[in-house]
Amino acid sequence: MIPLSIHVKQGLAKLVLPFLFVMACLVMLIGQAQPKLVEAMRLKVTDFLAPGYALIEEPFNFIYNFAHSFKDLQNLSSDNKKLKEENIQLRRWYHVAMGLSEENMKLKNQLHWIPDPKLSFVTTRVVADVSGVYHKAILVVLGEDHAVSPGQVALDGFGLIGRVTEVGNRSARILLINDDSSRIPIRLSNSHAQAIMAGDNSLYPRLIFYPEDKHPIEGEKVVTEGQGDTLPAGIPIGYVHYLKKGQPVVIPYLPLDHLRIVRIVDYGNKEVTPPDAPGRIMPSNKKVRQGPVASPTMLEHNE
Amino acid sequence: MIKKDNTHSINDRKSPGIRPAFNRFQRIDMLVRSFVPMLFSIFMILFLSIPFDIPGRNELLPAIIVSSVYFWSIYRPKSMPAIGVFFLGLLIDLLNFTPPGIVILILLIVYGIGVTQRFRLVKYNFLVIWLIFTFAATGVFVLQWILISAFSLKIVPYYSFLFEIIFAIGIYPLLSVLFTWAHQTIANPAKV
Repeated sequence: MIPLSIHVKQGLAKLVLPFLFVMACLVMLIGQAQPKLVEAMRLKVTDFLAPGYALIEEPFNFIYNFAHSFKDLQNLSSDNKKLKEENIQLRRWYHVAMGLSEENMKLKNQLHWIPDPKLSFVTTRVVADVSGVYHKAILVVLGEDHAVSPGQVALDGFGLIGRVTEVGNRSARILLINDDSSRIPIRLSNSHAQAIMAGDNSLYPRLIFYPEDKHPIEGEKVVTEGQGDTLPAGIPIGYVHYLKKGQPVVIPYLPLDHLRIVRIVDYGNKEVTPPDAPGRIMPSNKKVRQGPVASPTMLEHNE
Repeated sequence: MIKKDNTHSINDRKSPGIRPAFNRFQRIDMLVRSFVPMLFSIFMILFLSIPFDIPGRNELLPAIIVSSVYFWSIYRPKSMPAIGVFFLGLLIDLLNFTPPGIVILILLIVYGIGVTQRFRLVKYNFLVIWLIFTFAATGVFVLQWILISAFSLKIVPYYSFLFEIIFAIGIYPLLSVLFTWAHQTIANPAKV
């Protein structure tokens, strides 16, 4: 430590705050000028913290589950009754599904159907909600030797939730479909119209740019449209709901703010390459991918 | 400070007299106590990013951190040093994938208001301090909205910062009750 007089020390102490203000502005400038550098630093921090999140989470999970088990005990008999009825229903549906899948296989054989490529996916745990006030994203924890890369598609048990944007050694960030910057081309299952699903940071992404003569119908299913070579076609997302007249939104099958387990699927598509210059977009000459849904378990629940 | 049995409390620096030097454990104890405000803030940042069913989690975090920085900058800036505030902001920025630097700036502004006006502020009663906090919080959250809109080159939804402001104003009295208690007990280095 350099010996300093009291006056110099006091003077320096007064300079700390202005100096930090300058530093904050510098950080802002660096963030704008060198986004790669900041990105790398972020991933280091999240990689470091990803296992730590589980450590904080565990005791609270315990309390949470404990409280919930009490609630479950209260509704034991009514739940049991409901489950038994549901089980009978499901058994009936199981036989229907088995029959249909057999029939499907037979028909495909007769048509010499080219089978869909097998998809590889990893299932991971959501460790943190890294949504800020102005954007929506989650952080998932991954093993050391993972093959997840940016641009891959993230699904929950029922349908699309987002896309991988940043990948570190042990963690990856997934930008959700309700983020303010998310725009996804979709197809409506009943009215067969195309539209764009636009996130606005609320829980339900809005539907925009649907045809004038084909308004979305309340309750109809929404699946992705394979346009633009960014997403495979036919991944279920949710269903249409009108918040008020003339304002259709998509309600995802599972609420986007309670995601715990997600699947990251590799559809073989590369990340969208940005155009060379802003405003100049080269037309894609690749074929539009029409095909596989996420996996047999999440096949559209046909009526 | 004279206790009931006419002895001085061990770490009472204000009254004259000779007292024993602190031993190692007392030093560690003091150190930990003086870090309580920072540790609380860091814990809140990590805790509120766990996906639990806490309503308005994303808006709650800036509200709590801003309240914490404001309170401790007035009542014990030694436990919430400027450099610490800087790193709190940096941690939030890095974890939340926002344009970096903005949260650092707004926390430093709140800290600056607290630290420079602390001798004036402590004389006022709670309501005035709260009112000034209301103005400060509104100002910085509007600033945050403007900066984020500017950096992302579009108007981001405005209801988020309305929520932030409402949460901040609403949670400050609750947190200040907690902090006042902590200030006198667990976060008090003089109480070894």
